[in-house]
Amino acid sequence: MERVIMNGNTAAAVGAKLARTQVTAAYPISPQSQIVEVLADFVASGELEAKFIMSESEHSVMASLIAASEAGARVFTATSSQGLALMHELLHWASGARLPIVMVNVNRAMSAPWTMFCDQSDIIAQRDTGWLHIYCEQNQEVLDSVIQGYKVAEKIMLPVLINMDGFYNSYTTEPIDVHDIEAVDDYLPPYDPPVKLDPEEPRTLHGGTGPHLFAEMRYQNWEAMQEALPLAKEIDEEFGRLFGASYGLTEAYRCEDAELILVTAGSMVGTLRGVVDDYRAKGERIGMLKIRYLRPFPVREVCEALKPAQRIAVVDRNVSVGMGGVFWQEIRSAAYGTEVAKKPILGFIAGLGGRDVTPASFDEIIRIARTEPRQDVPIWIGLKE
Amino acid sequence: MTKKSKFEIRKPPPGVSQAQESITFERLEEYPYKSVALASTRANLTGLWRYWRPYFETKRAPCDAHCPVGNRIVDYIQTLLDGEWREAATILRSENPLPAITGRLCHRPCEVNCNRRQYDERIAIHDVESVLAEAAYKPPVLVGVDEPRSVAVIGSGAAELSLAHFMALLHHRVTIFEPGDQLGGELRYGRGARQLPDGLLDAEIARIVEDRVAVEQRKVEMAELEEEFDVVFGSVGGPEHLVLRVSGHEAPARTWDSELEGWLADGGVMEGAVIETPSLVSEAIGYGKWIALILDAGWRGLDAVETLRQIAVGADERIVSLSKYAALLQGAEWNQSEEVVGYDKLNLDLLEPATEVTQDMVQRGLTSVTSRFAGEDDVAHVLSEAARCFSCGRCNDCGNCWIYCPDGVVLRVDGEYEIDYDYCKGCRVCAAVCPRGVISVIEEEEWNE
Repeated sequence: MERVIMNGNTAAAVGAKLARTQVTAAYPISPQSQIVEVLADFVASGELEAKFIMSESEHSVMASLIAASEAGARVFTATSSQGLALMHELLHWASGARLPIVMVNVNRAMSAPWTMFCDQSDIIAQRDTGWLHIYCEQNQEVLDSVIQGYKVAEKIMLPVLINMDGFYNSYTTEPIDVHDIEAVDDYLPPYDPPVKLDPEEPRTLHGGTGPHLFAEMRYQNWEAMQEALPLAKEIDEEFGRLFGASYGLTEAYRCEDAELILVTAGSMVGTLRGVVDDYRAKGERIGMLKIRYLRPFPVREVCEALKPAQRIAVVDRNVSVGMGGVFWQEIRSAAYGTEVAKKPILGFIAGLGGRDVTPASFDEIIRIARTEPRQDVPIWIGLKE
Repeated sequence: MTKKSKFEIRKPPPGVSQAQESITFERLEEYPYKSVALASTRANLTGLWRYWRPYFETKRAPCDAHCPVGNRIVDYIQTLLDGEWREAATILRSENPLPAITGRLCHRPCEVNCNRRQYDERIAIHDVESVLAEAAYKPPVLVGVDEPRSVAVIGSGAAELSLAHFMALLHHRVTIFEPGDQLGGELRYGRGARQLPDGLLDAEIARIVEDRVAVEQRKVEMAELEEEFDVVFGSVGGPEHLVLRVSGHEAPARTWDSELEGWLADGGVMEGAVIETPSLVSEAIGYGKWIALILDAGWRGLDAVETLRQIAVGADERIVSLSKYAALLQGAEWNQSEEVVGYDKLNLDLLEPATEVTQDMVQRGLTSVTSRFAGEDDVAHVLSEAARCFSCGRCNDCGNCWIYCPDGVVLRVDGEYEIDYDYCKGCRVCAAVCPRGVISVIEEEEWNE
C-alpha cells in the first residue's frame, strides 16, 4: 500500500486499474474526462492490460461495454450529466441483461441552461434503470467503491453506478491509500460469468419475450437487488477487515440521541460531518445519516437510524420538479407506516448547479428544521429573493 | 425441477434443441437468470417482416457503358487483379479483336467516364488493355450455324477486320480482299500508325486471320462480288466510304437506327454518311462487330430489335456484347443489369483499401505475358492500376454486406454471397454499405408480382 495525493478522478481510474478492468470504452465529458484519460495512460504504458475503445458517443460506450461484458470481460467506464442521459436506454439493457458493469458518474447538473457544475440531477434521473447506486463522500471511498462494486456486481449479476460529486470530489486532491494489487486480487477474483458469448456455442441473447414470460425475468432483477442488501454490507465489511476502511450501506453519525437528524449524500456529507461535530461540541443533539446506497435502498437501516430523532431534515442536491428532492421522497416512502413517519420530515434543496453548500448553509437548514412544521413542498436554501 | 444454483442455465428438454419448437416455463425456478435462448430461435421466421428485399445484381460500370467496342473492362481488370491473367485476356479478346491497337490509339471514353476520375485520378485502362493484349488467351467458341454465309470484306481497316473476325467466329466463310501490299488499311498508313511499335499490328492481324479468314490481295469491284457473296462489306473508293450490301431480303427487319433500318429493309446499300465516325478506331471496331452480330442474328431467325435489346451494353444500342450474344445463343442467362453505376451510386466512405501489389503478383503476370511489347515494369504498373479500380457495379468480395448485416443473414459461401430470406428483415444496411452499388432493393410486393 502506498499513500498518494490525488483527486477523485484519478482515484476512480486507479480503482479500475486495481480491479484489473479488461475493457474500457469512453467518450469525454467534463468533469469526468480525466478518469478515462488516466485509464488510457495506464493502458498505453502497459500498467493495465486492457482494451481501450474510443467511442463516438456515450450511447456507443455503453453498447460496446454491454457486448464486451457479454463476452466475459470485466468492463469499466465513466461519464457525466448529458453523457449519462444519452446512455439511458442502454442502462436498462445492461441491468436487464444481468451484466456486472461498473461505471463512475461524476455528477454535473443537467442542462439547460448549460452548466458544468455539480448536482445530482443527472444520476438521480437514472435511479430506476435497475443499477445499484452508490454515493461517495470522499475520494478514498470512490476508489474503494469501484473495487467493492465489482465484487457485489459479479456476485448478483447486476451493474453498479458509483457517484462522486463533480468538482468537489473530481478535482479536489486528497491523500489516497492505493492498495497493493495482489491484495485486491485476493479480495476480487477474476470475473467468470455463468454464461457468456461463445462462438463455439452460439446463443441468442435477450430476444423477443412475450407477456407469458416477461414478468418473471424482471422479478429476478428484483430478487437479485434484494439479495444485494446483505451482500453489499458483508462485502464492505470484508473490505474493511482487509484494507482498513468500510463505509456501510448507510452511516448513522452521532444519531443515537439526536433530536434532529440531517440526511444527505455525496460530498455534502463531509461538510455536514464537521457541522455536526461543532453542534455536538456546543452540547446540541444533532446527528447525520449518510445515504451511501440509494439502490437497493436500505429501508430498515434507514428507519432504524432515524428512530431517535424528533425531527428529520433531508438535504437534496437534486430536485424532481413538481415534487421535491428525491432523497426526501425516498426517506418519507421508507418511513411509511413506522414511528418515524409521525415526525416532521422536512425537505431541503441545496447546492444546485454547483452552488457551494457551506457550514453556514447547514446552520440555516438546522435553524429552519428545528422550528418549521411539516411541509408539502421542499425548502430552497440560499435562494435569492 | 430445481436448479443447482440460481445462475445455472438449464439444458433444453430433449427434442427441442434445434427444432422449431418453443419452450415455456411453468415455475419461476425453471427460468434462466438472464434471457438466453435455450433452444434455436430459428422458429421465428423474421424474414416475414420484410418490406424491402435486397438482392445482388451485377451492374454496368461507366467505363463499360461508354466503350464503343463493348469491352467488359471491370471484368477483365478484376479478373487480372485476382491473378487470372489468361481468363482476363480471354474476356478482353472475346469482345475486342484488336486490344493492342485500341490500347494505344483509342480516344478512351472509358477513362473519361471512369468514376475514379472524380475521386482522384482515372484508372489507366488503356495501359491495362495494351499489356493484357499480350497475355495468352482462349478464343471464344460459339454455337454453330446450320448454313454458313459467305462474307466478302473489301479492305482491312479496323471496321473490316472487326467484321471479318466476328463473322469468322460465328462460323461464316470470310474472305478479305485487300488491294494493297499489306493488311491494316488506316491502321497501317493512317495518322495513328506511327504510335504502334513495329510488328504489333502484324501480330494482331495474324491473330484474326489465322486459318479462319481467307485473304486475297487484289483489287476487286463491288459488282463482281455481289453474286458470289451473301454479304459484301468494306471501303470502296477510299477509307471514308464504308459500304454494306446484303443479298436478298434476309437482313434483320428492324434495327436501332432509322436510317439503317430503312436501308436494311430494302436489302440495299448504305454508303459513307451513315457510318459517322469510322476515323475513331474503337468506333470502327464496334461498328464491324455490330453489323456482324445483327446480320448473324437475322440469319439465325432471331428478331433484330429483341436481340439488340438483349445484347446491348448500357443504354446504348450501338454497343453490343459478344458474351451476351453467346449466352443468348446457348439459351443461358446473362446475370447483369445494364443499369450504370455512376459516381453518386458509390459509397466511398466504406471503400476498402486498394490491394497491395506484391512481387508474387507481378511474377504471376510475367508468366502469362510473354511479349516484347510488355515487360516487368508494365506488368507492375498495370497491376497497381487494376488495384485502384473501384469495381463499380461488380462484387469484388470486399465483405462489407457480410460484416455489416445486423442479422447475420448475408451468407458467404465459397466467395459468393447469398441472402437468407427466411430471416432477412429488409433493413437495407447491406445495400447502403456496398461501396460499389451491387446490392439492389425492391419492394417485396413488387418482387412477388
